[in-house]
Amino acid sequence: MITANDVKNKLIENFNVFELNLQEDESNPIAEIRREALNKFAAMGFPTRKHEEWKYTPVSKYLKYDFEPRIFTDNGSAGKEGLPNTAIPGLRANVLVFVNGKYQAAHSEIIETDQFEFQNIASAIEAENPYLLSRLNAVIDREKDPFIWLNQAYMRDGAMIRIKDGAKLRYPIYLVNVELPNNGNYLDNVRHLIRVGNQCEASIITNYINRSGEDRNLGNYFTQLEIGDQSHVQFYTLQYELGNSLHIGNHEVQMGSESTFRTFFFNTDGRLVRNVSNIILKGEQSEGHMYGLYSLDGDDHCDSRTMIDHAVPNCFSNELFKGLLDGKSVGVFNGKIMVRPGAQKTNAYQHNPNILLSRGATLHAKPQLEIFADDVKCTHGATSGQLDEEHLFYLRSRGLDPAKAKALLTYAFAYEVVEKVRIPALREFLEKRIQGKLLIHN
Amino acid sequence: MSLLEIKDLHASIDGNEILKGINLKVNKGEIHAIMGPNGSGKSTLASIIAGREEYEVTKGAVLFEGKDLIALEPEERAREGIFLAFQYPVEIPGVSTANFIKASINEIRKHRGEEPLDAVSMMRLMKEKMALVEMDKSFLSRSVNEGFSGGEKKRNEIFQMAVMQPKLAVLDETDSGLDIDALKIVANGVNKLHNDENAFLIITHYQRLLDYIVPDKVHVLLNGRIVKSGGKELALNLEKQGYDWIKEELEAASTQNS
Repeated sequence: MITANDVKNKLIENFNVFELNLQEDESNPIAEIRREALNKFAAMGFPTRKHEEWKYTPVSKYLKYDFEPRIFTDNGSAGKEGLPNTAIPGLRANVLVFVNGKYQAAHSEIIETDQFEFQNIASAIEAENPYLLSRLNAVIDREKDPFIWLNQAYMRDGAMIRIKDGAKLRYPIYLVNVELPNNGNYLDNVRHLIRVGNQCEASIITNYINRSGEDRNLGNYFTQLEIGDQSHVQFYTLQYELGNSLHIGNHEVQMGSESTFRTFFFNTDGRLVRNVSNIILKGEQSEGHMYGLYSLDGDDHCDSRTMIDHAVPNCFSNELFKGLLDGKSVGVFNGKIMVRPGAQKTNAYQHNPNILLSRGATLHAKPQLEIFADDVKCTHGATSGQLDEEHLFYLRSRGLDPAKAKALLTYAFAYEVVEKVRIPALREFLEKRIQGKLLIHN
Repeated sequence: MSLLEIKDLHASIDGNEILKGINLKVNKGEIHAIMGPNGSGKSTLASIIAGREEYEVTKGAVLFEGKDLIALEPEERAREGIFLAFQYPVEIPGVSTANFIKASINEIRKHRGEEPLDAVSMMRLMKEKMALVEMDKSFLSRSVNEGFSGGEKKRNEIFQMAVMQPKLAVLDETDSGLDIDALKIVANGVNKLHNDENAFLIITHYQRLLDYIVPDKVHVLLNGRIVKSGGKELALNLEKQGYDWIKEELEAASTQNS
């Protein structure tokens, strides 16, 4: 039987082959960055249950088969055929499509070319882009997540975006990755590097669609976002991942002064999903809002970890993550609020309500406050329970059968997060998806 | 056959007996008021008719059009034509009033073997009934009861009742917390809906709603039993003299009997 350790060793052994196939210039600084990252990964290995951060997400249980690090042997584009419809109905957007982690120029369309610059990561590596290299080197030593190092070692493609100072994007940037079947188990490492200038307004939607069927891919995604001063950014993460694949998403966000950031995670499918979001409030008077909804059933496992880091005084953060757990699903929520020494006048709120719809579902919730300043307001709370009997009775007394009443109430619970979505077409799309999932037919 | 017939109804919650032998007959076309002090069992009676599950019927029967009501699920009772206007209507964020009512009407129609209402007829029906309780149609797109004032919630109950056109409507302290204007609107709604084919059971602590809705019969519920029944003048007496004189009458009667 293959163990997580075997998988790790194989990844390390095969790195040479991967590197040879890449055909990158030997003088390209990326080579050293990759090597260093591989060493870090080798030293850490895959997490086990003994790692506090992975206690409830037994990722090694899923690592029982070899993953082939994806190498693109041809430079051509994926054909339209076989590519599922990735559009969000009614949404006009700057679209950037990736298939199995590889950028697809033919399927992409940038409308607002005057507002932001885009280069795919593969080209940026080839061009030894200084910003890219500086960001890769900035993946700081204290980073303890082996998946980030794995991503950095085997990084192949993704989006590098620079939104110009003063740009006000009229349309969202829509980054969609589609996993298609390839008769094998692949490791896909996608890296997005997004830099938002000062005084900008922008929305970014990332969507992960998995149609790889029987393939057991490991999607290992790492997104870094830098937000300039007085900029306002919305960031959405959607997932539509049927099948057996694993999804590991890491997000690192740095916010400038007087900026606002709204982030949303919608997990309505997924065999094993882990999303980590670290937000650092680096400039004063900035505001971070985090919203999440995980609606799970069957054997779904969703691990949401957030960290909001108040590094400076006078900032505000608010977090609402809601969970619906049915079947034998497992939800993990770990929300940390960090208030650094001197970060006075911090206001930080966190709320994580959950509804368990079946006896077989499990929730592990752990809010954490680490406060090193004395003039702050912080609250947190996590709850789990069943649907309110009084609410059910109200609906039943109006003629609705229990199943329908339950579905309506469950939807109402989820809606509190959905209604915060500020892009109407996206909100409608999510409403429909959740209604569909809860089998509500209006 | 009475529309509603309650025979020697005993009911308890968590082992405490709340209703200790209720007998009541309500015929089509009648309005009955049930009055009584706090804790007398008024809301329990309403809950049992509507099918709230935490109450256990330990003895007796409740018949609706001759059928055993206790055996039915709450939604089946609603479909058969029973409506409860809640004392504390529930807020349901995310579910619009229009969608909620649409779902509700269509369940009832399905039960009656009728086709679902088309969108135009549905809207016409809702608008007509909203006018009855003087609600603005903007309420339709708002979430059920969310952010509604106390008066708006109660009007919404009467609005739902008007749309669903029940055979028997039970109003559980619908008048509590209402100002005089809202009270008149609620009463007006009831009076307009009242006809020879339906009946109302109005549960109230105070007489003032009965200034606007004239009951055929008034019953006094005390300690789980109906201890006195009379015409509308009984309500006025209760308003003037409270419940003490009834208690005294009862005590006197029991002393004589012993």
